[in-house]
Amino acid sequence: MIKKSFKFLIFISIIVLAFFLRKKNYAQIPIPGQSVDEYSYSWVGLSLIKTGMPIGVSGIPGYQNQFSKYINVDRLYQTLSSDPLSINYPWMDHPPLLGLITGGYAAISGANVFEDTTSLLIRRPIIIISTISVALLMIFCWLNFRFLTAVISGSIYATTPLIVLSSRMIQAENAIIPCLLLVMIFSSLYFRQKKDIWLIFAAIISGIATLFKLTGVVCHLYIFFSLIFYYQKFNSKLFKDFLFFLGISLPITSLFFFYGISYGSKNFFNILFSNANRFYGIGPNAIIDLIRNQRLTQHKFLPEIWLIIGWITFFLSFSKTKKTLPQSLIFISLISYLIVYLFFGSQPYGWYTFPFWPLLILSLTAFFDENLTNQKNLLLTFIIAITIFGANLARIMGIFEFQKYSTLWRFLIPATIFFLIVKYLIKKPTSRILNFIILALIFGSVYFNLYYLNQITLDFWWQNIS
Amino acid sequence: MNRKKFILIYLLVSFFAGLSLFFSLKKYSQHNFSTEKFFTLTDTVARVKDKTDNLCKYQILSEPKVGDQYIKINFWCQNQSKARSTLSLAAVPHTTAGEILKEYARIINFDFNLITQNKWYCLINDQELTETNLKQEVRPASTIDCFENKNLYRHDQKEL
Repeated sequence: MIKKSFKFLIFISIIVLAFFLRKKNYAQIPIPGQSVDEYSYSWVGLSLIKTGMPIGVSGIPGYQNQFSKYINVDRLYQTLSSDPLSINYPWMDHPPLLGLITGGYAAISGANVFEDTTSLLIRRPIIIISTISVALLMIFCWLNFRFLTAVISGSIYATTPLIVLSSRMIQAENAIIPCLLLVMIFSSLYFRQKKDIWLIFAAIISGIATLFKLTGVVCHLYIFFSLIFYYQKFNSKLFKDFLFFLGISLPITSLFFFYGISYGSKNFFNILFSNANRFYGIGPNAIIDLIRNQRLTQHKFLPEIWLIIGWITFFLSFSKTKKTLPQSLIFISLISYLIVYLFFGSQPYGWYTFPFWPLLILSLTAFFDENLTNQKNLLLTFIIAITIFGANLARIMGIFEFQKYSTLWRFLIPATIFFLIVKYLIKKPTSRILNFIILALIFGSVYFNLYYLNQITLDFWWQNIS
Repeated sequence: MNRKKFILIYLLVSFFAGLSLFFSLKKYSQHNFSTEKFFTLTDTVARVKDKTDNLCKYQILSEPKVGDQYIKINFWCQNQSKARSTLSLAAVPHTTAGEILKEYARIINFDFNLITQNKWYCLINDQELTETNLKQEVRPASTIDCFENKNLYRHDQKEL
């Protein structure tokens, strides 16, 4: 009982930490207006509630009602070099659910006009949603691996600076993340217990995900692939399960069509087809760009070693023929979103990649979990842990300040690697101490995340990130 | 669980939910939306936004990519400060000098009457702005300069 309470206390502590990290300076960083989509989503919701007409920003051709406007919310034109906004109605670029949440919150808080929707107000709901994502990530790990894995994944996802900053942005991807994680949790429960209720929940959440943005279809794709994995072949059971799933999820998705055609089917289909013909800019360079560049918006980068290593562990899992159910579910989720990303991909805006990040953290922690539990691949695990540690250390320390530790670094790491190779060659089991060293490196890196996040002020942002 | 029965009932309920969404949205937007409400939403200044009486405090930073369809508005203050802005003409509802200055005052959030009350000296393309040419359409790529008093000059140029 005490052990359970203690675990629960740690779980809650990580969630509280995630919340406060996301909350700190949330209205200033990322700079409001660097993505006007944040306002647009909220304006769609606010206008829908106030007038019944969704009004938002769009660059897509095909709208009948288009106005160029200066809407100086958050003194946008005094902080950034922004052009006037292209305002359209009825706005049909995406389904309105995220707008209804952020705009609805603004309306409840007293916002009446577009200039009232300051980032101080509209970013609050997304911080809650992003914090829920941390909890769901931990729950997935707790259910499918063990508590320590949940703590590792939660600590990394709660504190990685790029993820923390992205979690403050009103982008549909930030709402799709908890949906995908929930669907992963429900599917793992379904495969274990074979109870229809879990498939029903997964279907409902998948349907809701598409009401945030049509890329929410990733949940459908994920379920389809995981059913193939579970049944190992295309049999009638697979199709029965998937049809049952679609029978529940698609009617929810169809609400967007009912919504769209209520404002005129011509406008709705114009925008839908116009969206489909959007500039397709990622092309064959997509995968390299995805792994190499960690973007916040289109032009704002913040390199994250956690994510780069996450990609490496994902590629390593390709070669693994025998995966456990949780490992396969993580692999399938990444493949599913990769397909959606490449299919929908247009210009490489940072937020298109947000849903990869929790999955990459899961891939990384699954890698640690497997190797630390089974005491295998410890050399590779150590190299990965020390790479993460070193990159994070370099980020907060800088090359010149680091020189006083360079001798230690130069000799200690090769010595450890040498020791591991000798142990491997003489086939002697490695002592558990190495597990503690690897865990210490991981949690040390998490501490560096916190240290770096603490440095990010407005000045730091302008000088180092913007 | 009888899946067939469940799906049948669920689809029926969903279809009616979709239909009621369709009709209620149609009715709600027809009753509540108008062009005036659209402009109220987009053009009304926020209640909590700071209103300034220093016309050199804020400027519009953008240089819109609109060819020659722009107007430059410069305010020059006694204390050597200035606010230099460029507005896209496409985003200004009326293109007379007076209406452009009113739109500029709305964006920056200052009282338009301060220009006359504080006797600002304004020029459009180096011609004095009078009651008459305030109501005239401005040509694209024009420049409006307003000086806090007549003896001021453009600080970043040698002389007027």
